[in-house]
Amino acid sequence: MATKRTRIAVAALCALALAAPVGAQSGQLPRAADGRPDLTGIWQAASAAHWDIEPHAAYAGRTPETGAIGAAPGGLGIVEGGMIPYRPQAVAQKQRNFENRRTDDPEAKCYLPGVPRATYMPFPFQIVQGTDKVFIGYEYANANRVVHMQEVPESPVDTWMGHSVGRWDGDSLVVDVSAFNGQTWFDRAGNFHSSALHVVERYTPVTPHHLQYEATIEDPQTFTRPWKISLPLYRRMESGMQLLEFKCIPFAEELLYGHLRWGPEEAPRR
Amino acid sequence: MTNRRMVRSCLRACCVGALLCLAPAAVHGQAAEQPAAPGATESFTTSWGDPDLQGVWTTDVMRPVPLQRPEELGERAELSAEEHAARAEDEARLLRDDKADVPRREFPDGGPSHWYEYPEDPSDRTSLIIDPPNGRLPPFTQGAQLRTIDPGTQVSFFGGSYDSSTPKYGPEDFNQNDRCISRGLPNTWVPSIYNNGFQIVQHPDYVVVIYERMHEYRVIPLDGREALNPDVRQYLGDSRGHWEGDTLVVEVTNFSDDTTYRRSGAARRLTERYTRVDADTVRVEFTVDDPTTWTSSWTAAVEGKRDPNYWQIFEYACHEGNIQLGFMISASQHEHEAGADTGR
Repeated sequence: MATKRTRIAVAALCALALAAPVGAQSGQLPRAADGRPDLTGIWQAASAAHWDIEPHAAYAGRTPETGAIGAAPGGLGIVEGGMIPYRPQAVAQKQRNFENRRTDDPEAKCYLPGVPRATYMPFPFQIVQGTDKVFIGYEYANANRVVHMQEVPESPVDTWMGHSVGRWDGDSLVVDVSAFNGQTWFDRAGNFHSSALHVVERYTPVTPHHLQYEATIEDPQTFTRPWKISLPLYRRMESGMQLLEFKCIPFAEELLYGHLRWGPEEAPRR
Repeated sequence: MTNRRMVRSCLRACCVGALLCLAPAAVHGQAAEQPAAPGATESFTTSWGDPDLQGVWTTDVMRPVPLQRPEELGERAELSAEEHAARAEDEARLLRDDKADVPRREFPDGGPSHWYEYPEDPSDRTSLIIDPPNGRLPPFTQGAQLRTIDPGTQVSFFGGSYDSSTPKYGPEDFNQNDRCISRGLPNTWVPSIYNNGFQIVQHPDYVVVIYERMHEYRVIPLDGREALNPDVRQYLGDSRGHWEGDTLVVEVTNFSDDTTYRRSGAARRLTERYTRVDADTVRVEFTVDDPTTWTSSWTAAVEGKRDPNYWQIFEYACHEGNIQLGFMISASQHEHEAGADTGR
C-alpha cells in the first residue's frame, strides 16, 4: 500500500525528471564515492579525425602496395568552424608534413602521440579514476598520463604527453595540459603545433555510455587564435573488454633502422 | 636522496637511448605535498573501503640489494649492523664520486655518474629473493639449460646488449632494454640503477600500476573476470587481481616468448602480493613459477618507499630519444667488416 510519504517521494522524483530533461540521463551516470561522475571505463572515438582533424574527402594512402587498405576515409572534421587558423608560415610546414607523412608522422615511428591526438587515435583508451589522480592509459604505444587532481608543482621539463592538472566543473572533468615538447602532431595529415602548445580538455559525460570531448588549443607561435575541437567518445561495450598491448616499436624498426642493416642476407629480421 | 634529483637530469631524456636511456627523475627543491595518509589509525583504507596502496613509490633503497644472496651468507636474510653501515658508506662514497664527477669504477661506460641513484638509507636485506631460504634462484631445469634464447627477447643487461664479440646486423640483435620496448615482468620489479619509480592508482574495479621505466602500465581488473584467451600472449602478460584481507593478489599469465627473463618465456606465471606496510612503504612480493625453466618456484620481495621529492612519475621517452641503437648497429658493422667477408 502506497503511503502518503511514498506518493510524495514519487511525485518529487517525477518533478525532478521533468524539470531537468538531461536529469533522466545524467541521473544514471556512474558516480564515484565523492559524488563526482565516475569516468572509469574504456573509451574510443569513432571518427576519421585520426586521419585529418579538418574536413576532408577520402584520399589515397602513401603505400600503394597495400591497395585500398591505407587510404584515408573522408571525415566531417572535428575543428569548430572548419579549418585550423594557421599562421601563414605554418601552412607551408603543414604541407611539408603532409607530403612526408609516411616517414615523418610520429605515429609511423611509434612515438608518444601527445594530447589531444591520443584521444582520437583508432585505439581504445582507459580512464581509471582514483583518489586525487585520474589515470588515462592509451592502448597505442603504452602511452599514459596521470592527471593530478590536486595542486602540484609545474612540470620541470617539456614532454611528449604534457603535464596534466585536472579539476571538476560541474560534471565535466577539465584538464589543463601544458609543458609539451612540440614534437607531436594532431593527426596523420601533418597538422602540427609548436612547444608553445597549451590544451584545455573537457570530458563531459552525456549518457552512461558516451562522453563529449572538447579541447581548446592555444599556440600563438603556430595559430592566429585559440581554436577548439569537439567529438564524442564512446564506451566500448564488449563483455570483458580490456586494453591489449600495442607495443609498436618492433613494427617501426624497419622504418627507423632498416637503412643501417648490414651483414649476410639471412641476418635476422624477426 | 633528495639531492640526487636535479633538474639537469631532465636533459637525459633528449639525448640518450637504449642502455643509457633515461627519463628525467624527480626534481630537487620542488617538494609537493603528498596526500595525507588516510585515517588517523594508519589503516590506509580508500573511501570505498579497500586497502589503500595509492601513491608514487620508488624501490631505490633496494638498489644495492642483489637479486641473489652471496652464497657465503647462507640463510641469513639481513646484513649485520656493521655490514649495513658498510653498504651505506659505499653508497655515500658513490654519491660523493658522483658530485665530483669521478667516473664510476664499476660501470665506466654506463653514462654520466649523476644518472645513478644512491640511497641514503639502503635496505639491510641480503637478497631480493626470500624463497628458497638461501635467497638464491633454484637450478635451471635441463630443458632450460639447453634452450636457445634469442637475444632480441631479453629484457635487461643479461645479454643481447652491445658487445664486440658478436656482430649486430640490425635492431633485432639487441635486447628489449636497448630497444626501449619493455622491461618485462618480473624484471621491472628488480630495482635498476635509475628510474625506479612506480605509481599505483586505485578504483573499486581496477588497480593500475604505472612504471616509470619504458612508461609501461598495467590495468589490473578486480571483477573476477575470466582469463584472457590463451592465444593472446603479451610482453607483460595479462593480470587478474583480487583482495585477500589487506593484500592485493595478482595472477599474471599469458606471457609471450617475445620477452624472456633468465631463460624463462611464455611458460612463466607470476603471483604478486601487494601490501601497505606503513605510511611510507608498499611491499610487493612476486612468485615466479615456470617448471619448464626452474626446478622449483621462487619468490622475491621489494619495498617501494615514498620520497617527498618524487611526486610524480616522469615521462620516460626512451624510444623517442634512442639515437644510440643506430650508432651501435653502425659501430658493429665497422668493427666486424674490417677484413671480414660478410657476404654483402
